[in-house]
This record gives sequence, structure tokens and C-alpha cells, in this order.
Amino acid sequence: MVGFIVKSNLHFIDIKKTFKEGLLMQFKYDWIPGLSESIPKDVNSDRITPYTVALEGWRRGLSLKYCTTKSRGQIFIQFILSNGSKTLKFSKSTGPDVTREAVNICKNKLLTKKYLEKADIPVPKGKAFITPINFDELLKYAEILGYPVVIKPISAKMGKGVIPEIKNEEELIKAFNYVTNELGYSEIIVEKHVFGEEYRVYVVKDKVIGAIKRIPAYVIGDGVSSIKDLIEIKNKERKQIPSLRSRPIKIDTEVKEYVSQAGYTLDSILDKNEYLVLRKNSNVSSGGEPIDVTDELSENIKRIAVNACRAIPGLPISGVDIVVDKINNTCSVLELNTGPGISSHLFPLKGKARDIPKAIIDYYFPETSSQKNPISNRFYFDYSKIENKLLSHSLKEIKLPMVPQGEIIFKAFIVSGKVQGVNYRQWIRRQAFNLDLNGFAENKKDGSVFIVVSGNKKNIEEFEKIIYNKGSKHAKIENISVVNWDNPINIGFVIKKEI
Amino acid sequence: MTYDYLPHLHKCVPSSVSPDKLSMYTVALEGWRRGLPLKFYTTQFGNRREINYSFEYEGKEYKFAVAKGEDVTQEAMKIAKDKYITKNYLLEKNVSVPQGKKFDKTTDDEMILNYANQLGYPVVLKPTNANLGEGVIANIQNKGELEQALKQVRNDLGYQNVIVEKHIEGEEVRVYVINGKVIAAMKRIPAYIIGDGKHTIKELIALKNEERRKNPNYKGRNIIIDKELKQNIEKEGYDLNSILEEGKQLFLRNKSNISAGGESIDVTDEITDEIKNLAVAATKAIPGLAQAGVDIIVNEKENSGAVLEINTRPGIGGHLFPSEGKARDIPKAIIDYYFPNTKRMKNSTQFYFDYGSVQELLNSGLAEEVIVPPVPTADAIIKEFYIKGNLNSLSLKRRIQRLALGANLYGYLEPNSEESGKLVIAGTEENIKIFLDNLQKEKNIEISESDREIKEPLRAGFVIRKLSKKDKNSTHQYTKKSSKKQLTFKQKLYNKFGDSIIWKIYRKLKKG
Repeated sequence: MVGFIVKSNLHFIDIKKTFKEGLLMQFKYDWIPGLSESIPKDVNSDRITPYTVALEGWRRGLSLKYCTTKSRGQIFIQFILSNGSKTLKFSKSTGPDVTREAVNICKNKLLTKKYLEKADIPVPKGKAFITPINFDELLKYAEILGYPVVIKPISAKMGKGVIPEIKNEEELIKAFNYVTNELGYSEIIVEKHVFGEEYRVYVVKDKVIGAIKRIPAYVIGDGVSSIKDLIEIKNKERKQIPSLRSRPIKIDTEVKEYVSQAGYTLDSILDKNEYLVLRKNSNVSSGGEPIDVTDELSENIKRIAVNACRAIPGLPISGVDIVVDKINNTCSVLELNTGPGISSHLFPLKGKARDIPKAIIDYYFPETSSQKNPISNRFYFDYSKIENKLLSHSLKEIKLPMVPQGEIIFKAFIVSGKVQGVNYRQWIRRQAFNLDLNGFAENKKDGSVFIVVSGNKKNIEEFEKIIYNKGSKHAKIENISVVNWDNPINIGFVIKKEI
Repeated sequence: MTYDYLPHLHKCVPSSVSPDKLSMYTVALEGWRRGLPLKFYTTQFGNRREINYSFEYEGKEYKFAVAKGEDVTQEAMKIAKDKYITKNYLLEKNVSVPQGKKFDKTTDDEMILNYANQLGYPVVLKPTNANLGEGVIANIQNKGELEQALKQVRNDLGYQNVIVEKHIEGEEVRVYVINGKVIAAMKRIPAYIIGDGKHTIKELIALKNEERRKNPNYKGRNIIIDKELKQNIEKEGYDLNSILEEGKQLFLRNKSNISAGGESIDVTDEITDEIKNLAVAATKAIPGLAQAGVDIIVNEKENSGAVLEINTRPGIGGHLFPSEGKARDIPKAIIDYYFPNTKRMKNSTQFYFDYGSVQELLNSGLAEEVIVPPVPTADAIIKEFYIKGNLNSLSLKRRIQRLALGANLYGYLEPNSEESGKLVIAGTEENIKIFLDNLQKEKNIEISESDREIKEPLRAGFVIRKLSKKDKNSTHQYTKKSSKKQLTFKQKLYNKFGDSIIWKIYRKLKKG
């Protein structure tokens, strides 16, 4: 019935040798092993947070379901983790223990300040101004406070409308007009500008799990490359980093200004080790770099971050923004974030990655903290596809299969012969589906098909029997070789093509 | 050839629904359209995994596989799987079956041959349990042929346990019974072509395959030119390049399986009450069998029949999309039976759900269970707008998508260039208003309502369609040319097969 013969089999190729240089670059980062390989290509920036938290829960053997919810006429994705008796719903990384009340307090910078002051947490001195704003009074207040000051809208997300380091009245008038007229905010806070280094401290239930600082986009000269080339090299590196790959340094007016202020053009060549700052703000979205500083925080600062969370009712998990003045050994809490992104903690450019998803799942499902099957770290799932189907409302709810349990083995094969354009991968997928195997089949540029499968021993053996004896109708198999594979794989079976 | 489709299925079977998924899809669609929450999931069936589905009704989950609900019990499935046990149940209730006997693997061929002699030729040989008519050899004329058949079934195919039965002359019909009532009956005829005096047999087969692609139950099930087919043509004195004379019908295969190019013909109104009663009696003879497809061999002259087989998981595509005769709405009957309180519900027949996404996620193993979003309410209206704006911007398109879904609207956004496109939305008048109000806040877009009435069915959800390549670098000529080409091909087909001329000839031949 099947008209081909498997000529030879079983010789090992070290697949690692074929790894691209780019992948090897990862070893210079101190990240959580295997995690960057577990982030699907199109899961980037904001989506890393909900994805990695759900992934951790799922890897612990919890059931995972994605669904949508409507809020103020918009659709949002939520995920549900369950251990059978306890079922919890998450929005982004925010779980049910972060109460609505806490969210409302933290959304309002004035309220936050009041709660923090009440608990004796250091905050910048400031005052709120509400419509109708008496501008003279505002100017007078700034004078008393002493420049530089900051103005910020009482309720705005992601640092929108925050104008720091206002040095004098003239600048204040400009900033005020911008925030009220152009951005349309009617309630603002005027605050003393606090100098120092800004940290984001991630707190889970009275414990600091991680802290990062962000430094504004910069380049360092090598004595050979132009500034433009150095930026390009930076962007290449950013592409390797899951949290930064969709956030390159863009050469815009601000960057050009910084370059020319330093007396250069984009084509200038920087001296070796010359450090050039490209931007004022340190947002990772505009080229900033996250650096882990968890071990640098003093006990005092850690305590303040923890107490800040405690000051807000119903806030066991939060990202606390703190400014630290190292010279005077003081600090101020600027803001508490109820749905903080965690990707910078997971993929810092310098320093050690901190396993925030682990801390979150430990908190919500403490009984699973010791249960994790190490093999489960070798599975992940295609979140982009799930998101797509939910956002288009093609599907309303998607339940993932449980993470494979028990004795799971992995096997990889390179199949050569006439195996492309003959439905071979589809045929393989069907066999895998029936045998409950996970993995993928990939068309290689050299005409072969690369197959990775994982499952229990019996089913893998069955699969081997099948592929050594059969193939899709028009396939002609000349050789099957077994190769090594120790990277994580997708749950399910994916058909791919080498790019 | 024009098919007499059920109007509410017209253009509602997406390309992702292959013929073997048609039963599941159409029953799921019917329940979904009546507002029942619909879930799909994967489950192990024998040595393979398949997609099953369930409805929620009055607080309970009702599971389905293919078109079969839970009122076909495990016990009934077990009985129907074994042809011999089935026969015993039927005999017990005096349901007519062909005379025969079962032999297990300990019996040698010699004894079977002796029994056949006793029974009298012609006989039928079949495995005791095999699916889809596999290994069934009919019309065995003599000892020599039976010896050969035994070798084939017992040795080559490996079915040691067999049944030998009296072969009954007549026409085989499939009768679909739900809850003691015949809903549909069809017969199947083997692949065939009809000559026009112009085209070669090879060309006629190609034309036929072209036609088959339009039938949801035939698509992907082409007539394949193989050894058997060539032999059949040669037997009639032709080869592939012969031009078949006008009006000449040529059967290409022995088997009438749809998958081998066969066609289904509805005969619900043609079978007699006696045959209908036989089918009903057969389902009643098996405990726990609320729905089934009963295969009956009918002797028209004597107005009698014998039950050959009972199928617990029959495909219903042949009843829904017959080549000839009336389509029968089996999904309606099934949903009526299981969920009687939904009978009077107003159906939103202009919507269907995205089966492609269901299949994609379940078959790739990314999901084990998915829930389909609900059908829009029956008072949903559909509107079409022209939209102008930067449709190159994904974030703008995403915002429109969010606004539409946020307002409980379904539809799609289809750019036809980088700055203009079509927006189709469906929902209640009120929700459409909310959406439009929100859309007004969007800067830099302009919309105007079209005066076209949307008649084509709409898929649930809101998708952003891709700007097709054709639109991207289209020249007016290109589109014109292709549509012209299509038209001539259609005309050609119509001239050949239009007005169901085949069937008139077919009937004539049958009578003569």
C-alpha cells in the first residue's frame, strides 16, 4: 500500500549547532531559563504580562480559559484559572484580590496621596486644583512650594499629562495650558519635584518581588560606528528581547535634538565608550532600557513600598513607583499601579530577571507552589491566536488543554525525500492529533520536514512506528534522522515553515 | 444544474465545513440559531480524536456527535455496531431482514460454503462489524465467487467474523427516522456522466467534478480516474478520449458511495408507507435509539423490503443537498425533538457562526473546548456603510472592531483601497445608533449609508477583512476579464446540464 522504503535511520545531529547567533546572545542575560523561548513571536509589549501570568498558572496544572468581557462599550480579554474547587478571574495580571475600591483609589492620584499620607508614607508635597481653577492661587502655591514643580492630572493613565521639572512661572503657565487646554484635563495636582532615581517596585503580599529602574535611550560609541548605526545595533538587540522587540528607538525630533545638542549629527562617529543620551524620558516604549535593581534597594525602601500597598485597602499586589534620593537617603512614593506590566522585570537588559508570575500564582494558588512538574516549563501556547479569535468575537470562550502531566518525552526528526507540497505536514498533524501528541512540523528550506513531538512513551513509540512505515499519499520518504531537541514547544500541533 | 437547497442554508456553509463535518455543522447551526448556547470540544472516539458539540438547554448540557444526540444510548450504539446482534433484535420484533447466519473465526470456509448452498445463491458476504459498508460483497452468484469473496474479507481485510445472507434484488434506500417518524429518505447512485455528443469522457468527468464542487456534500469528493473507472468505461466499449453520444448515461463505478463520486437522490415522497413503517419498526426494535439511518432494500413490485443495517451516526448531507429531489430539513427535526421549547422561536437565519475558527483551534490542539458567541436577536437589522479614512491603520480598524462588538453588533470591515471600504453591521436599531454615535467621535473618518439591502448571510463576530491583492493592484480590465471568463464557463455548464435534463434522461433510462 505504501510505496516507499525508509533507507536509513537513527543518526544524531546536534541541532544546537544550527542555532543562529542571535539566539546565543540570550546567554548574556540573566533571565528565567526557557522563558524567552516560551513567548510566541507576536506576543509582545503589553501582552507579555497577561500571557506570562496565565502561562505560569497553566504550567502548574491549573485549568486555563480565556473569555471576553464588555466594559463601557469595549471588549476586553480576561482569563480564568481554576484548580477545580477555586476559580479565579484575571484581567491582565490583576486578580480578584485587588478590589474595585483599590483600583478606584489608585486611579485617582489625589486619593492615593491622601491614603498614603494617612499611613505616614513619604510623598511629594502638593495640592489639588479642581475646576474652576483659580490660576493665581495655583501660581502662588507653586511659589510657596518652591520650583521645580510637577503638574499632573488627577486621573490619567500611564503617566499621560505628567509634566515634571517645571523650573519657573513661565514654564508652569505653558505646562498648565498644555494639560488643561490641549489635553483637556480639568483636575490637576501641583507637586514639588523630587530629584532622585525612580524605581518601579513590584510588591506581592507584603513582599518585594522585584524592582527595576529605566534609563532613557542611549548609545555607547565604539570608535567606528556612526550614531545612526549605533541606534540600529541597539534596535537589533531590542528585537531579541520579548518585551522590547516591538519598541525600537525611533529617530524623531527629540532624538535629533539631543544629538545636535551634543554637537553631533546622526552620521557622527562616537569615540570608544562615549555615552550619548538620546531622550529625556525613560519609558521603555520610546527606547528606554529596564535594569533590575532589586538587590540594590535598602531595607528601608522595601519597607516603604510594602507599607504603601498596605495603606490602600484591598491592594495585595501592586507596582509602586518610588523616587529615591541616594544622597539624602530619602524617598517619595509617586504612584501605585494596580495593573502593572511585568515584562521589564522578566526581561531586564541588565541584572537578574524576577519571576513575578511565580509570585502571583503562589499568592493566589499557594497549594500549587510545590506541585509544578518541571517538564511543564517546556510547554507554552499560542496566545496571539487566542486573542485574535476573541477580539473578532469569532469565539466567545476558549479553554486550553491541561498542561501535559506525568512522564513526557520529546523526540525530533528530520524527514527528507519528497515531503514538501504533498500534504505531509498535515498528515503528520493528524497522526499527532489522534495520538494526543504536541509539537510541530516545519518545512525546511532544504526541502526536508522537521518534526518535533512530545507525549507519553507509548504514544511516541506508536507515532514512530507510523512515520517509519507510512506517509501522506504522495510523499516519498528517503530518510528519517533523529535529532536532539530541548527547547519549549507549543501546546497542540502546529504546521510551520522555516523563515 | 440547479439544486433545491434549503433556503436558510444557502451560502451559510463556509468552506471550512467539509462534507464529513456537514452533519455536525448543520445541526449545531440550527440549535445556535434558536439561541441555544453552543460549545465545541474534542473527544476520543475509537482510536482517533474528533470534534463533538453540546447545547445548553434549560440548565442542562446536551451532548452531540455528528448529528446524534444523547437519546441514542451507548447500548443502542453497541447493538447497531454488530450486524448480527442487530439482526437478532430485529427478528425478535418481526422486522423483516434478509435470511442469513453468522460465522466466527473458528468456522472454516468449507462450512460457510455449505451454508450458502443451502441458502441458495445469490448471497451477500459481510463482516460482522465494520463501518461504512467496508468489506460488504453483494450479489455473489456461485461457489467460486464466494470462495474468492471469503478470501478477500477474511484473509486480506482481516475480518474473520462474517455473515452470509440471501441477496435480495431491489433498490437500496436510506431512511432517516427521528422519534418514530420518517423525516427523509434517499437513494444513492454510483458516479456517472451523460454524453452531449461533443465532449470526451475525460472532459465530462472534469465538468462533473466542477459541478460537484458547488455542492457542500460533494466538494472535495471528486470522481477520480482510477483502474476501476477505466475498466467500467472499457466494459461499455469506450476509453477516456471517446466522445460520449448525446443523452447516453454512463455509470463509472460499482459502488454508490458519495465519497467515490456517487450522488444522492431524495425519495421521501416516493417510498410507500409500508417501507416507512418498516424503517420506524426497525428503530423501535433497538432499545434507546431515538434517531437513526435505516438501510432498507426495497422490492418495488412486491412493495416489501428488508432491513440491511442500522446506522447510529449517519451523515445527513445527502438529505440536505441531494442532486435531485427535495432537500429535507433534518437539523430542524433533530432540534425540534431534543429542544421542543425552541420550536416556536424566531430564527435568525441570516447568521451563521465561524466554524473555521472552531476547527482551527480544536484541530491544532491549542484548545480543547470553545464556546461560540450567541446568535443576534431575531429583530437584528443589517446595514451597509461606505467608509473613508486611513484604513491602512490597524489601530483604527481595531477601534472600529471594538466599538462594533462593544455595541453588540456583528459584521465586518472590508477595505477596498487604503483609504476607503465597506462596513457592514448587524444588530438592533438601538445598538447600531450607539455604535454610530461612538464612531462619530473618531476623527478623520467619514461614513455614509449605502442603499443596498443586504441579503447575503452574515458570519457572527466582527472581522477585519484583508485588502485583497486583486483590489490592491487591480486594473479595471483584469476584473472584467475574469468575470467574463467565469460567465462563459457557467453558460457552458448550463447549456450542458442546465434544467436538470440529466434527470429526465435518467428516469427514462430507468423505466426503459
